[in-house]
Amino acid sequence: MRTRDRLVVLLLAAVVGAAAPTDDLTVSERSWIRHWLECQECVNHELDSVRAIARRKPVETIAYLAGFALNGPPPDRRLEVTQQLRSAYVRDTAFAHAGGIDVPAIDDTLQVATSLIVFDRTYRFRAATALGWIGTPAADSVLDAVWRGSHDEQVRAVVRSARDRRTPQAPRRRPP
Amino acid sequence: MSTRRTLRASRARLPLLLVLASAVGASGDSLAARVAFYNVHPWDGPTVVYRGWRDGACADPLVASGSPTVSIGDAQTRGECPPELDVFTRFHGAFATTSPVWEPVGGGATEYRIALPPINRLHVSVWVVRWSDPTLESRVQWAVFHALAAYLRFRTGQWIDVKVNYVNSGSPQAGYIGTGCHDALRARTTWAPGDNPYVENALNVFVVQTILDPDGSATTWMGLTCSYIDAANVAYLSSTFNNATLAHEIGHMLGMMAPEDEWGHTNWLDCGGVSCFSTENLMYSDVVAVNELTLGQAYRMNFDARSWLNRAAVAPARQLIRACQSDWLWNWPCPPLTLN
Repeated sequence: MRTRDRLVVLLLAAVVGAAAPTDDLTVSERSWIRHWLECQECVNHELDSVRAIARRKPVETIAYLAGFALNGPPPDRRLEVTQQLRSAYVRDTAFAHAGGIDVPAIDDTLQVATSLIVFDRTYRFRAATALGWIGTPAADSVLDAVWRGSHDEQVRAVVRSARDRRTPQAPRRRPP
Repeated sequence: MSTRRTLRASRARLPLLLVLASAVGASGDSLAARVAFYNVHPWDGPTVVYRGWRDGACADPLVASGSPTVSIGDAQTRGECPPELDVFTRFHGAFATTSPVWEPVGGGATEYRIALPPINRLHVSVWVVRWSDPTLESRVQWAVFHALAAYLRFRTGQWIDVKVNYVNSGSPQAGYIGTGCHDALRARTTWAPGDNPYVENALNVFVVQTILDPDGSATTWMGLTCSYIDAANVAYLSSTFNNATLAHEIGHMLGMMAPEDEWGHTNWLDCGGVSCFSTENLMYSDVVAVNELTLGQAYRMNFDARSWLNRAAVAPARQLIRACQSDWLWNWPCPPLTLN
């Protein structure tokens, strides 16, 4: 199968939310991509690593990122994070009640749901940013598809920015 | 990376394991030295870290917990092993001494009695420049609560005391806050009573919709600490901040910058083929909810010269300030970052 045809097949799989076509990405490569999708400050060369992977395996990397840009985090990761958030809610509130500390009047369902919305959006932001950073015509095609398919203005703004290649730099470091 | 670090991990952990093993062996004989507290709260859960001459050798850190006393074995003062005794609790400040005084209490036992200091109120000034997000206030509220709970639970000796202010994007305060660390420098050096939200003697956290680079490029980072431009008490959070981001950035401001080549993040620290830290560690780069903050980290927050607590002009006089080593596994002058 030609490269272009493979990309079309992989992107179609991503669009319909089929199982991520990542067999050709190693565990380590997927792990680096996940670090980029979830990092707080992203100063450990996460984005550079994604681009390096994309240079070696452009079709697979773009398809992998397309899935996240279009659909957000994968279901298994979403489930893990949901469990972490629920556990944290229980721990924090139990500790606060025992220690006489005021607990915000937010129930666990709302708290977890709100956090998941942000988690989902962050995946879309980061995947779009990485696609802009890769900057190939195939990556641009995915960005265009995300822009057309998204109703979230914040996601569309990030896609627009990624399409313009206004991608982030790591802050220059100074000796501590 | 991993081979070198694995070797270092093994090298650093072996003596610790030997010492702990000898402590266990000695437990049936006599655990002669103990630490007693005048003022522990039932929920304090005091934990003692002791380094010095113990059980016939220069000891690696011993960690022991208990209440109202903590037994630490046969602690003695010997010139070749400078002693250090630290205490971490949930509702008192961190305590450290290099000259514990052991007093005989009969039967060959000795005791060191301590009045723990009050918990440190860590003032954090949070300014939020509003954007269109109906959940913004509850998200900020929860991030503040999660930070408070985590820093107390894990015995940092810090009560995260937060004052949150909300302003609109057109306000004078928002003008000072700007969009990133480059603006923080201006806010820090420009005095405008009533308009400038920067507080010199507090940690400053500015929450903005998007953090921009100095060249105007948008980032998608959840947060950023401005220590890299010498504004060590300023951090920015963006619209993607999660429950753990505030706690994580406070960690950076309290000196969690080692290992330096990882910007203080614990993701890639390898201990014999397994990660030294949990994915829920405070300083894990991808942390979603904090469920680990080691004693080694709490130690550095309190006693490392790089912690903002030890730089601020109005900080309470610290009992002890160390120039902590960059190596997170070595145990001198500061305990390993992994100590727990």
